[in-house]
Order: sequence, then C-alpha cells, then structure tokens
Amino acid sequence: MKDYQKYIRNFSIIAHIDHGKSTLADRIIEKTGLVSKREMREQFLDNMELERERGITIKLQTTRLVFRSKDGNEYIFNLIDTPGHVDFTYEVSRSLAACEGAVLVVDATQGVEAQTLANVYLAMDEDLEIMPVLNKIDLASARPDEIKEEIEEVIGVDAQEAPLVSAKEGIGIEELLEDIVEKIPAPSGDEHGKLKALIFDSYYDNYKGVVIYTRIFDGSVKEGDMIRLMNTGKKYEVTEVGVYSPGPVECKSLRAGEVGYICASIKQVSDARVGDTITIDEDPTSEPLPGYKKVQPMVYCGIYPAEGEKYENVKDALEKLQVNDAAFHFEPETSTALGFGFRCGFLGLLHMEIIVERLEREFDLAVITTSPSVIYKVVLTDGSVEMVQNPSNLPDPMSIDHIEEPMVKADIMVPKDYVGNIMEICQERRGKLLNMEYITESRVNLHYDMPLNEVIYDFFDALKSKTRGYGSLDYEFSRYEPSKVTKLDILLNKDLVDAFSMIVHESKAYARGRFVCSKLKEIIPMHQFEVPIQACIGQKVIARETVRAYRKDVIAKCYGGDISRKKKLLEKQKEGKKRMRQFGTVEVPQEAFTAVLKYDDNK
Amino acid sequence: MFGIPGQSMKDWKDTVRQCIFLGPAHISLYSLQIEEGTEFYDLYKEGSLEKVPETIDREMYHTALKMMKSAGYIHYEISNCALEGRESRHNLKYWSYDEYLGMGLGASSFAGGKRFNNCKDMHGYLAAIREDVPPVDEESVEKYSEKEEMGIYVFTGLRKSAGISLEDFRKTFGRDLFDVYERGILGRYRGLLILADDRLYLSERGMDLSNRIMMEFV
Repeated sequence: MKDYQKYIRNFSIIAHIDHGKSTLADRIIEKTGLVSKREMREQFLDNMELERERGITIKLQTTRLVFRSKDGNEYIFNLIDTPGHVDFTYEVSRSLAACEGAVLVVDATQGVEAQTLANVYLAMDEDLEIMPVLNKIDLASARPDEIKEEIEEVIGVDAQEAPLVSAKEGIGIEELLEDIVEKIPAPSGDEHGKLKALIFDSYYDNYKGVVIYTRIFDGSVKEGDMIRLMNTGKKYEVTEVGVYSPGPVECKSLRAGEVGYICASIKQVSDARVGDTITIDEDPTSEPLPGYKKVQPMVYCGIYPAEGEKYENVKDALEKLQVNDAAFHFEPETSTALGFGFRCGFLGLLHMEIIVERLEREFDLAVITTSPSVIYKVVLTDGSVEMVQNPSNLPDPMSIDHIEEPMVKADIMVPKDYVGNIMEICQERRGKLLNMEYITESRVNLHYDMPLNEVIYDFFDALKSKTRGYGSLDYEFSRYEPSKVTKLDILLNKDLVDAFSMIVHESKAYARGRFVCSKLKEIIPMHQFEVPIQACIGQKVIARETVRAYRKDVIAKCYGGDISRKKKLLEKQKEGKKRMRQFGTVEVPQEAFTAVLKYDDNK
Repeated sequence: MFGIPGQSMKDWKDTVRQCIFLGPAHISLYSLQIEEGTEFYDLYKEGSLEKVPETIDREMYHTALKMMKSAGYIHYEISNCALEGRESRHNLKYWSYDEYLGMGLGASSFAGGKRFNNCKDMHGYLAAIREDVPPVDEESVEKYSEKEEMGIYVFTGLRKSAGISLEDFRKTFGRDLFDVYERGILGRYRGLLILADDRLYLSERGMDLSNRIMMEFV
C-alpha cells in the first residue's frame, strides 16, 4: 500500500428506508465538507423530487470529503451513494464494487429490516467491510443492546463496537468518522501499474459530454491519455479528470485507490457502460474487472400520447430521458386503437414506472401506457424467426410453427421462515426450483428457473409482501424455450381494442381474461347502451362482463342558490370526460390502461 | 317524493292520485337524494337502506307525469307541474336567466351581472344592515366570464319543458348559440335534445339524462 492510499477511505452508506441514511450522510458531509447543509441538500443526495417521494435514490451521487482525525492526519473520504431496488441491483453492485467498506445504518428503535438485508447481501458479495452504526439513539424507544444482538444474529456481523449516533441531533458523528478511519480498510493498488479503472456511473453534461464516475484500481489517468473502454472496445482521449468535492474540481490525475470523474468527449451514456473497465489503449491491462454485465431491457411497453397530447412532445421527452439513461430504449410503433406512439424497453417494472412518472411530472405530458411485455421468439412454418414484443404484431396463427418465451435464472434470498411462501408464489408462476442453499444459518438463497413474463408483472411485489419485505430478487436472462403462449384480445362492444391485447401462457389465459374484464367493468363508465366486455382467444370468448346502460343522470332541484354548485358539478363531469379515450363507440378512461396492468394476487 | 327505499310503485301511484284529487294549482315531484351528513346517508353506507334501482326511479317519474298530464297539469319544468297559468313565477326567473335579489341569511342573488350570497350568520348580517351596507358574503361573489354565463343560461333554460329560444340567446349574448357550441351535440343526443325552429329543449327522456347533455354547454 502506498503512502497516500493509507489516508483514503472509499465507502458507501447502506440502510433501510427511513433509517436515517440521508440525514447521516448530511451530517458526515457537514462535519467534513466545505458546504452548508442546505446547499449540499440542494445539490446532491436524493435531489430528484420523485426520489424523495418514493424514498429511493435513483441516480447516484459521489462526494469527496476531508476529515482531520484525532491522530493528526487528514483522511480523504469518498462517499458513494447507491440506489436500492432490484431493477437497479446491477448499478448498486457496481458502486459498491468501487468501495472497500459499507457503513450500515440501522435504526436503533426498529432494528434490521428488509432493505437493510438486501443491501448488506450485495455489499458482502463485493467483499466489503461492513461497519454497523446504530442511529436515532436520541429517541426514548432506542434499544441499542437488543439491536446489536439482532444485527449479529440476522446479518452475522460483529456489532459490539458499533457506534451509537443520532444523525438528527448530531450525536456521535465525530466518533463515527474516527471509526471509519479505523475500521474501513484503505484501498490498495499499484499507481504505476497498467490502468484499471471501474465505471460505476455516468451521466451526460451539455458542455463536457458524458462524465464518468470512476474508481481507479491500478495505474493512473490524466488529461491527454488515450483510454479504451474494454467491454465496448471504444477509444477516447481524456479531456478532464477530477473529483467531486462537492462540485466538480479538476485535478492533474487520478491514481490507484482514488475515486473521481473522467471526461473524454464521449457522446452518449450508452457508450460508457456501468461496470466497464477503463484502461490505456497503448498499454492495456490484461483482464477487465469482473462483474460487467451488458444491460438488456427485459420489459417492454407501449407509450402513446394521450388525447390532446402532441406526439412530438412525447418524442422529445423520450429522447431527453434517454440521454442520461443507458438502459432505456425506445422506437416508434403504431396501434389501431391508440395511433402513433413508441415501444419502450426497460430494466424492469420499476424502471418503467419511473420513466412514465418522469414523463408526466418533469415533462408535464399526458401519456397512455399499454401492458408490459417481453420479447417472444416466433418460429414460423417456413423456418424463419420473428422477434415479437407487441402482441398485435404476432403473425397469423396459421403460419406459426411454435413460440418461444424468454426464461430467466432468478436468485431469491429470504430468511428461512419464508421459504414456503416463496415456493408457493414461484410455483404459481411456472417456476422450477433448481436448487436451494443456506448462505448463513438463517438466510436462504433459492435458485429458480422461471419465464420472464411471469416475473415482470408483479412478482417482485408479491415477493415483498409474502416475505414482509425481507425477500430480495435478482434475475438474468437464461435462454428461450418453446412455450404454449397465446394472444389474448379484449373486445369492447364487439370491437377489438388492440391496445389491450396481450400474450399470455395458455394456463393463465382464463384467469387473466376474467381479471381484465372485471377491472374494465369497474372502470368503464356507463353508456347510453349496454357495453359488453369480452376477452377472446382467436374467435373464442373466454370471459365476459357487461357494463349496464345508464338510465338516470339528472338533478332534481335547481333553484337560485343551487346554480353555482350545479355549474361546478357539470364542469367536473366535463373534466372527467376529457380523460376519456374513444374506442369505436366506447369511452374508456385513461386509468383503464394502468388498472389492467397489475394482476392482483389477493390471496 | 319518489324513489324512497321501501316504496312500491303502487304506493307511489296512490300518492300521486291522492295529490291530484286534492286539486292543487302546482305540484313539485322530487326523486329522493341521499345527502352526506344525514342519517339516511349513514344507513345507506352501512347497507341498511335499499336504494331504489334507477329503472324503477325513472318509471315512477314518468308514470307520475303521465297521470298528472291526464289530469290537466302541464309539466313545465323537470320537477314541476302546474295548472295552466299557475306556473311558479318566482322559480321561472331562475330558469329564464332573469336577475333576482336575495333577502335573509344565506340567500342568493344574481344582480348586476354578478352572483353572490348573503352572510350566513345573523350577527354579520345585522351589522351590515346597521352600517347601511349590503349584507354580502364577500367570498361568495362570482363574476363569471361570458362563456360561463352562456353555460348557465343554457343549463337553467333546458330545465324548462319549453327549453330555450335561440333568438333570445342571440339577444342576450349577441352571438348565435350554434356559433358558440358545435352542432354535433345535436347528433349525439338525438331524441333527447331537440331543436325545433327557434327552440332547443329536452324531451322527457332527455330530462332523465339532462346532466350529460347540459355538460356539453359548460
């Protein structure tokens, strides 16, 4: 270990929601950083409103701090933030890979909870030093000794020396920082070796192009260097290197053990892939860093402009979102029912929900999203193959030889008490248990082989609810397998509405059809005539509901004092009608599209 | 009142018959509305009240109108019938876009193009009178736009069986009704909303669905 490395600590803070991760980060930055708490909040951690509301961090932020220890030395703390959802597990794991340690925050009044575990497992997978910290020690209900025991039992990490802090009151922060110095290992690596650096995040800046967040493992990098991104093979010239302290600060070079950023006139974030290794083109390192995964969209859906919304606006917004999201893909498509729109690809359902919410909030757009779908491999009778994600593009059944669906290998980690529940929900979703192993005495890892289309809808939600939040999920594409899937159509007043079409497994078709029909019956308003809702496979009707016709829509009394109120009522009724979309003779509220997405597993 | 939980068609017809027998000059008939904050509402929420189905409610309504018309009453507004010449002069003002002044606590006015209510409490009301100032609740004052007033003209006027006069609309607002609203509305409500020469009105069936139709004009 080199001298300068002795004084560096690279770590991340991991915690369950509301256990105080952000507040603690604030305190640490305050104690060591150069900006006021308010300024920092405005600029950094959790800065998207969406994130604040959902309580999750989506985009990563990294800050370099300086701490003067009581041993008289100055230490550089690189605090790396992490998002926390299965859709982004890969991003989390890569940011953790940039660290040597993880500060595990546990609420001293609540104890170890779901997301605590999920993130700890990831940290352990990266061989990080886990440093537990008990927060909210100022509260009367704090039970430090009990919680320490819990941590040791459930996680298996020694918690006896865990610092007791109150991020809110600012108690114990100094001691915590000293502990970080003492307990989190310093980085190592040969600064004169061949450059080996990890990309753990990137974003697009209008002036600098793509900015890469990087951790240097070996060698060093400076302006003017010709770097190569090993997994994509692309080469670039470095225009700037620096650190975030708190804003970008240029520096001469970054060396092994350090964390910072690199700019190299890179045009798109998709060229600077998370997990890729950076090396010098002329003198490359022999092996890229482990753990690189090519990000594949797993889930697709259609996004269409809603009534009154301009197609161009949606297109612009999608383009802007793509600039900073390497995992988000889209291309134009059309629907008989909805007109011109886009087929969009996401990492998962949460990723999709986030993009849609951003379209609605940040770009103020009204959009309709169709049922999420995976890509099916359709083998035709003439031997040719078509990849289909839009159910409406499924070729004529007569010309299909067979259809294959994508399968995934799913890793599900749960405390042993919930194994039975998990087996139940996986079985319901055509999952095959490959094997099961005990990671610790209380923690089990189940390996399942499952169809992707069973995973994307609400598997994660079911998993969380059946394991009281303790379960975690990771999956990756495994292969295509022939499957008995079929197209399920929905007819409203005898007209096929292609926007509701979906591809389902034969065994699920009836249940799905019944569910969609009953949901639509709840949502579609009464019309002047009866509206039959039918779910069909080909010509065969497999489920049906009817929305009866309305008979009465009148206000009995309307005298002087009633007029203003009546006016408001009629206006409200009119507003409601605006959110309707006309399909043939039937008016359908836009909520109908989202309502039929979630398949209720009300068991 | 009809549409009362537990009321049968026979009960209702008996009521109407008795009413006609008494020979009043004017009869109002209302469908029971279950209002929040009443005991009826609580009973309804807990499931103890059996709400009369819409179809029966409408049948009661139309049956009553038929009986009254046979007895010589004129159905002149959605909820009101009267002998010839005995229509309520007071209420007709509301449905003919005339101005009116409210007296007393909480009373509403439509005067000088503005709509407002009086103070709801006695103290405020009396204090204003003492100071020789109109006892108006400032927060209730509304000066609607012309488009909004047109909407009010239409939805109050359509409550009358005779409906509204296009000529009168032109005189009141200086514009033709079908320049402001699209003619397509007529097509959507054929048989319910009727245009005959100068008059636009709701048929009896149209009154059943009047909200939906009036909504097109706000």
